[in-house]
Amino acid sequence: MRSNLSPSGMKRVKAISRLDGFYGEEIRRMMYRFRRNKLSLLGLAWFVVLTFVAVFAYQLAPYPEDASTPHFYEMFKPPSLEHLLGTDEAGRDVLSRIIIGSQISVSTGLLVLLLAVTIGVPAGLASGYVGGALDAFVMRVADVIFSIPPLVLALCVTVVLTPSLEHSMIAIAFAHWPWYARIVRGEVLHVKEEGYVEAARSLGASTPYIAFMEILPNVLTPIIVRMSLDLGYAILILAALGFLGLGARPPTPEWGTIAGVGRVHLPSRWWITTFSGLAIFITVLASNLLGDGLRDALEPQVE
Amino acid sequence: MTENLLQTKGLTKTYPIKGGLLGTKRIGTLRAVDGVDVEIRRKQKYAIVGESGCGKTTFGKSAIRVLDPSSGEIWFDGTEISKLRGESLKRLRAMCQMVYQDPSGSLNPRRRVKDIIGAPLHIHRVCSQVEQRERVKELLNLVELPSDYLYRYPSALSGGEKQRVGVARALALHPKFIVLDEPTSSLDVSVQAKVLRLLKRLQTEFELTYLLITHDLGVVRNFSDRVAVMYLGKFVEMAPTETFFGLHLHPYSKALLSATPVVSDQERRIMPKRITLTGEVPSPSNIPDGCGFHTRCPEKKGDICEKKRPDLVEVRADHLVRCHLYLNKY
Amino acid sequence: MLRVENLNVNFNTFDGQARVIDGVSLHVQEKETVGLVGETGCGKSVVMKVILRILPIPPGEVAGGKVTFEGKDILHSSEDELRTIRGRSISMIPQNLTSLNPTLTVGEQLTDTLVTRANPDLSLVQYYRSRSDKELCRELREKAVQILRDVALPSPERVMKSYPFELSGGMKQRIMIAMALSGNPSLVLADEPGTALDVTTQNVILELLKTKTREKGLSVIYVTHNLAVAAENTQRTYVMYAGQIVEVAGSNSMFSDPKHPYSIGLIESIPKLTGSDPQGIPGRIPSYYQPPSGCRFWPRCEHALPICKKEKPDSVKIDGHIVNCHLFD
Repeated sequence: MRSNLSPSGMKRVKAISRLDGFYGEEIRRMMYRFRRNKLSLLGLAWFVVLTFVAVFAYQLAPYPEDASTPHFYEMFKPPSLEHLLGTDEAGRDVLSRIIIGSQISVSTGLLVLLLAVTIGVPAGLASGYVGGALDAFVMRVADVIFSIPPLVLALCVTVVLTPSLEHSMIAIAFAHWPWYARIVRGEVLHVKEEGYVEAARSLGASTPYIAFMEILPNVLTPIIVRMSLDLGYAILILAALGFLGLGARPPTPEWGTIAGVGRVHLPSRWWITTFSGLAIFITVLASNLLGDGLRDALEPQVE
Repeated sequence: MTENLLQTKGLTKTYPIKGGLLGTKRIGTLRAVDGVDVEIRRKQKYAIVGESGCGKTTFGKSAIRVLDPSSGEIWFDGTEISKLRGESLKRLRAMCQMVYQDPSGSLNPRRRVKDIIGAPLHIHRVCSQVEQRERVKELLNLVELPSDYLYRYPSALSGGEKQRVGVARALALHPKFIVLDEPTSSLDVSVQAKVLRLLKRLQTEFELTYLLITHDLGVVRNFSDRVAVMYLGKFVEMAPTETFFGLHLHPYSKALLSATPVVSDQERRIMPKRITLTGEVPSPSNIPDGCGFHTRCPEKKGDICEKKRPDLVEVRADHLVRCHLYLNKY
Repeated sequence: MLRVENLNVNFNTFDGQARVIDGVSLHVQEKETVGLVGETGCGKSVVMKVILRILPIPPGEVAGGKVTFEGKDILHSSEDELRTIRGRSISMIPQNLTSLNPTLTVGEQLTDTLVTRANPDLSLVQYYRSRSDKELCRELREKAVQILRDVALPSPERVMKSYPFELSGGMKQRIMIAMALSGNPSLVLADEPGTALDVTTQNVILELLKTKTREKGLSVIYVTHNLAVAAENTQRTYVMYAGQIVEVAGSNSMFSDPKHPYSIGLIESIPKLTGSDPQGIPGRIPSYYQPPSGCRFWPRCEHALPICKKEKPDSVKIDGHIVNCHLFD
């Protein structure tokens, strides 16, 4: 049911919208499109659950103290009713560690994204709007970063900065900001030709004013879509670094770290790596589904 | 206080045409505005009429420094403004404002009406937040829009209403001079009438001076005091509006007027016989020599039209023409 | 020759049902030029699309009425029958100058049109085979050049080799007229003819259209919001408002002595070259999702009577005009 083929009178009629939000009645149509996509709803559902779990981790975990406390007499117990996902090499309940680990994964994932966006979006705005030498410089730097696979880049940076959770976050943000810069720059190049930008200039607006007040609100959509896709990716790379022992250091219950430490005990004590790996996998999948759904809802292609 | 609010001498705006292998070599020049002199008196409603590509919009924008002129002088209220920069340029902006042709394009779809109208106040740091809201409400009132439109987005407004918001925005800083760039071209005729009435009322109330850019001679007749006909970057005829519709001198003016479709018999009687111009419209990047109109002129005098560019000549009081047909007689 | 009776068209969209066209009736006789005027959003384009049956059916929906062309029931014709009509008996001159494919030369587009018109069931394979048939290609090219010459296009051979972006608006409009006339139609629908052009060029194009109409004895419908164009080029004019026809009369009479309050307001709003003070019409066009009952103009009409809200007015004949207004009951 698409209405972009209706006559011009219809357009005027639809403009008198009932839901007058930031996107006006577009929000209703976006929600409708989003709702139709069952898989993205699943993705959204997972993140809702995940956020809930992350917030109430210490209340939900059956053995909250197991975040760090070893119980060596309970080592390597396979999944049972007492320990639903088994115990690890220090006797800690795997389920509890995964639940508590969600806090770390989600918060660090978000922080990484925010860091990348805080650097990338202004860079893209400046690059696109100001143009010239600044644009050339920013894009060349971005090109260099693009040329190295993100995981490898994050790896190198982490190693250089000495491995830790904080440093791996910085490394991932460093590898990620150019994506946002490039997306924003593309949108800005398009938006800056619009009439209202010229109008703002003729009113005497300064460049920063135009960039943040006039242009930015119009480039948010692709940023939001990208962020939802990237959340899973950020968590994945964090986990990868943790897996390699370069991110969060044990005994921090970060999912990747758990999986990495448990790797040596495969295949006999499979439950440690498998379940932590599964958590990573489902989260990344959910992020992709959510991101896809958001993109279809916010940036509809011709059906 | 000078009589003319805005005056230009030889205002020119050119654009280089780039070509060559890397797109960097200059292979030509597009002369959008080609040496225009104009005097706009205070409280005057001055109209520039012409067809697309004649340079009228470029002229309007250059005159108030929305575009930077390539050469020439611009005098606004006694000050030469063609080379202003920085703070003084910003102060000029507060005095000269513009209303744009496309109401949908000139309003940011992601900002509310109150922010769109309040933007100039915000940019020039004229008043506090509270005062700003009051002033915006006042402006909405002035353009006959209800105050609950403050929180709406442009998508909820009709074309005429959007244009009113544009007018309100232009009035925010108490300007003296407003360039109206085809303000009603995209509006239906019944809405156009309302917007033009509003503009006339505002002019009396605030003693504004207007520069109206349009291609519609009907609007010129009903709105302006003085009219200039523009062709390929030059003014070819300038006259008081009343006189112009009774006596049009330049062949292009005659063709323009005669080609305008009209609705009533009375209008048909005052119009010249229909002239259908032959030949293609020249591009401003390749302006013919001499008088630019000679390629299509039905009253072409001869070789002189192809070789020499005619100067403006005052044929009657306040009525100037740029045409060889009138040069020798006066 | 063309008769539209009591047409009702709805659009079913995400936001509900928009009752766009409400009981529109009009007719065009042989060799008659008729204007259908109205402001943006009044539904005139929709009517035109229904006549050609090119209205997108979901979300559009013809809820009632009849369209007869040369005796054939258009609304109930099959797609095959329609294909023989479109482009041949009825053709359209689109408003949008970008209707020409920017990636093909004019010559290619013209010959393609000619080939598919000659054989509407052409398959892709046959099409490509036809392109290698030299004899056929030459014939098509000659025919195309002739068509271009017919609309007074200077140097048609050069135009054939050009891409649309290389041509001016006036030239593109001529090509569209040429394409529309090439199938020897009996009815031409001109959608906002000349609106996108400068007034001097528009003049030339409209003159051309008038000449061709006379030469070929065509019936034409000028669908436009430019009342002056309708006044000067048509014999009879229909005025439309919010999906309803409000008045129809001979063009001279319509514009010198309009009867319906909307027509009066509309014509009064035109800034006249003789000097006037146009007032405009208060209010804005209604929403089609909740259109005003009865006569859709009553909320903006200063002469509105209580009955205007309740009942849609019948057509009344007065002074050679047919008006749909209770004031004349």
